[in-house]
Amino acid sequence: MDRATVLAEVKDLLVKGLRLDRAPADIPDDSPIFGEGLGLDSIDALELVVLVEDRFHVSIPDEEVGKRAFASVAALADFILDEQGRR
Amino acid sequence: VTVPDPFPRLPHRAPFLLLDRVLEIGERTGVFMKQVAAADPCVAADGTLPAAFVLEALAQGGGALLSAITDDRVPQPGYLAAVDDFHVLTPPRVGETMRVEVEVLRHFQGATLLRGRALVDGRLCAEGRLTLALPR
Repeated sequence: MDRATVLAEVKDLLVKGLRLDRAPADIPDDSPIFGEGLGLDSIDALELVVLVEDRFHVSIPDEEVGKRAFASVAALADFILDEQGRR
Repeated sequence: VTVPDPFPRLPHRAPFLLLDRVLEIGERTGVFMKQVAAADPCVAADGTLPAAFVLEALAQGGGALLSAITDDRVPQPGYLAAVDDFHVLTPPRVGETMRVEVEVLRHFQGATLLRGRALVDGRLCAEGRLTLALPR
């Protein structure tokens, strides 16, 4: 998958998986996932870890990796591409 | 005679402690039991344990498991933060022994996703996924 495809899938996953009240296309690439970005909390973080691992077959083993992967929507897409590229 | 409290770290007390005994505690799994008694105020008029209390029993099992497998000595007040795909097939009835099984699926940032099942005599009564959270 190319970066644009992964970005689109990540946004789709966020909206559908976490039931966000906005369209995927309305989410900026550089939007932080937590806090003031998409307004998600630690419960959403756990749900997102499970969703991302299931959908993209990557591993987010701990909070340190999660902090990097979930820095923004674009960071999550790049993390997925990096992890998939290692296989 | 003083009976040791099997759930010293759960804040729940009768009649809202919905577990009677610990059967097994593993690295990621816990098994508990509850005798459904007619005198239990949580039991409905038709003699069944309502879905909300079955769910609460699963959540308490999750809390008891997390308390047992974490080494924090001061009990942390957790709460049931989310429930997914929970359904009751056959509610436990008065006179039956409900077996509560919980398994940790994932832990991340103070929140834990568990799978919970309630069984009577090997028959699945209810199952679902629960998220327990510890406030920071």
